[in-house]
Amino acid sequence: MNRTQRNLAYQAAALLLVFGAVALVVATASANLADRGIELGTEFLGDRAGFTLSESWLPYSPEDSNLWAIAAGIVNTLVISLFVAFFATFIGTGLGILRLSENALAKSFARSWVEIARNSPPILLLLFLYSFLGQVLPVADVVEPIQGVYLSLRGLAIPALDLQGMGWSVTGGVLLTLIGIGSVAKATASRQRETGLCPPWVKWAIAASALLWLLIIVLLLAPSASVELPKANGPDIVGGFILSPEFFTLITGLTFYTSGFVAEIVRTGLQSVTRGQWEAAYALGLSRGRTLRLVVIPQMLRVIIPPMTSQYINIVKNSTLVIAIGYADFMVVTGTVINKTSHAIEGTVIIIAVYLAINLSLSALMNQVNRRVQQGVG
Amino acid sequence: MTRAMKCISIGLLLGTALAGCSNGAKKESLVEKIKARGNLNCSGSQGIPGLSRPDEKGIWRGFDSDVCRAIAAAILGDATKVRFVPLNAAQRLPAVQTGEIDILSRTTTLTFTRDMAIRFVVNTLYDGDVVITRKADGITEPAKLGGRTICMQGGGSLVENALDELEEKHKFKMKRVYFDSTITARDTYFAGRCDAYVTDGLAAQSQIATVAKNPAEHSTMYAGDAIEPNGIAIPRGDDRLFDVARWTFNVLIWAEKNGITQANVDDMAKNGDAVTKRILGGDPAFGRSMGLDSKWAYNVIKQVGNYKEIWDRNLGENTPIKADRRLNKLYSEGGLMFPLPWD
Repeated sequence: MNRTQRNLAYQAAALLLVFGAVALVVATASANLADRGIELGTEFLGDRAGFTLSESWLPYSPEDSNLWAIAAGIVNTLVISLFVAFFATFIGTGLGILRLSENALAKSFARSWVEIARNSPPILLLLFLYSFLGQVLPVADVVEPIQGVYLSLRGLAIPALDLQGMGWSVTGGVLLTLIGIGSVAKATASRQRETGLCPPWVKWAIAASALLWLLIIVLLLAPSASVELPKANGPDIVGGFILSPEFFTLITGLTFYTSGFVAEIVRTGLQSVTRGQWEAAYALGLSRGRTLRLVVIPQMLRVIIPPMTSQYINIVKNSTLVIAIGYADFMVVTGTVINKTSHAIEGTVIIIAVYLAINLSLSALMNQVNRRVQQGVG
Repeated sequence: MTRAMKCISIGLLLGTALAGCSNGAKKESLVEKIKARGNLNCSGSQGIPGLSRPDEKGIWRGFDSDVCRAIAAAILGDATKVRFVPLNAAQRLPAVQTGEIDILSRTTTLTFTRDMAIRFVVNTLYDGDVVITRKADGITEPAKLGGRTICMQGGGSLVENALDELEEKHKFKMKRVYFDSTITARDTYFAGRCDAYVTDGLAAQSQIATVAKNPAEHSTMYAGDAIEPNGIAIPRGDDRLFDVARWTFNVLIWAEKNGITQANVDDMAKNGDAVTKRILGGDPAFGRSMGLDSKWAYNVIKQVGNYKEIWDRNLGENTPIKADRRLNKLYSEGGLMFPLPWD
């Protein structure tokens, strides 16, 4: 028997072991299921859900199906994760830069933030923050710090803009405008690379869209839209857009926790760019801002995108902690469905599959970004 | 044939062979497993005074916990051989299905859907849904709950149905804030986050009596006229355990009806009437049919007491809770409880 054959034999044996173990698990599980009279099936997904959600970004009522309830839960999870990812990236980057500052105060501020944030268990942060809010927010009555803005333990209420069903088209319009300005900026940059001249197209685009939006607001939105002011009713707040203490705690707590990690990633990224790069850029006459934007950050991104991907995936996973303080995320909703229908195994499979799908798409997306960053510099 | 296909077919072959052997084992009742294990795994709540909560020494106290003890006394002859597993509302049914606990005795209402998943044995407590509010807010009746904020346990707790009915009846909406634990929901209500806290009637009374800073500030009202029949439940398809659980509970009611208590059970076993003597150990046939010791019923009364003793110890006048027995009185006193006949 030569080495190749021997290696093949080892691999075959290992494979047999793995398949054997899997088969054993499946066999035992199905025997136990039959033993306990548990039937598997997916029909329950179409049945009436029959429970309410405290908060939902999708239109949802108890009359909807279990499947739709789970979908609403997934959207709630994604919304939380998006908010946290956005704020944590923003704040974390700032902190990472502060960590390298020459100013001792700024430096130690950033350092203590990072150490507290990443060394505390996230569930503890959430519970602490939530009970802290319970202690400091007014309980018995509602305070009005600014005209039209109300604050109490029931939440922070701001005047809501009622767009009479045009909300989605307005959101789409804003997105389109931003994409438009972005592509103009891109065209400007490539023009500059070719000719060395920087045409003022971006300024024109911003001015044009501002004018367009002014017209839209005056002619279309202003006549039909109305502002709904919150009102105090005893300790309660009625009307307006209410930011609940639960949602606030989640966003703040998870952002704080994640920002500590992001700060460290950004700091290592910055430090991985050698001093010589800075000096070379200065020698060419670039300002500090331009050096950062054109020389340092593109090189830093190559280093930080892979660990940032892990952080974004962690955010999605940590969002399951919201269960402790009453936000209806995917995990909570599926748990409720399991409890109501007793389809624990199918529910658990759904939970695993959904988190896998979310995190695999996230990492595929980030890998795409990573590839572009690597090419952009090379 | 590619290599991958080869591997898969080998795996499948192996799997079928293994599946063949594991299906051969005969099904054994949990009663036998409990005896072999030497202890009963029973549910605990997250801490509801009077129903199930560990005391300062870590010993579980409460009505639901004592029902577990009665069953342990019947099977093992020792009421202390119970391992309590604290569970929240969403965990309790899967815990029965997966065999994590043998008996579910934790304010669980019998419903059609749940009875299809696990097997309810007998109703041990009849309760209702109660809303706790602050007297200062003037919410004196359910009709005044419109637009109010309500703290409650999420995860498919049944009190939600009562709220749905209220909303439908009065054509209003309430703002519901859910928590994974009824304890968090309660504390959040007491902190002032909500105008009301909704839970089972007995739990509500015990929370006000034992947790509220000033019990006099809070008032309770029934959310509707629905009865919540709380029962004990076991995994489906275990007739032996079903028998033991149902008839152990019957011993509790029967003993109360016949005035048999912890204090006089020894005397009753010797000098009681013919039926009493038979059940308390004179006739081994009762225990034998369930695979239990002939002293099983005696052990239950001697170690745990009858229904009234369990109630008085945990929820009665001498406890801070002072709950009204209402529907849980014997039928002869206007309640819904009556013993099943033995012969």
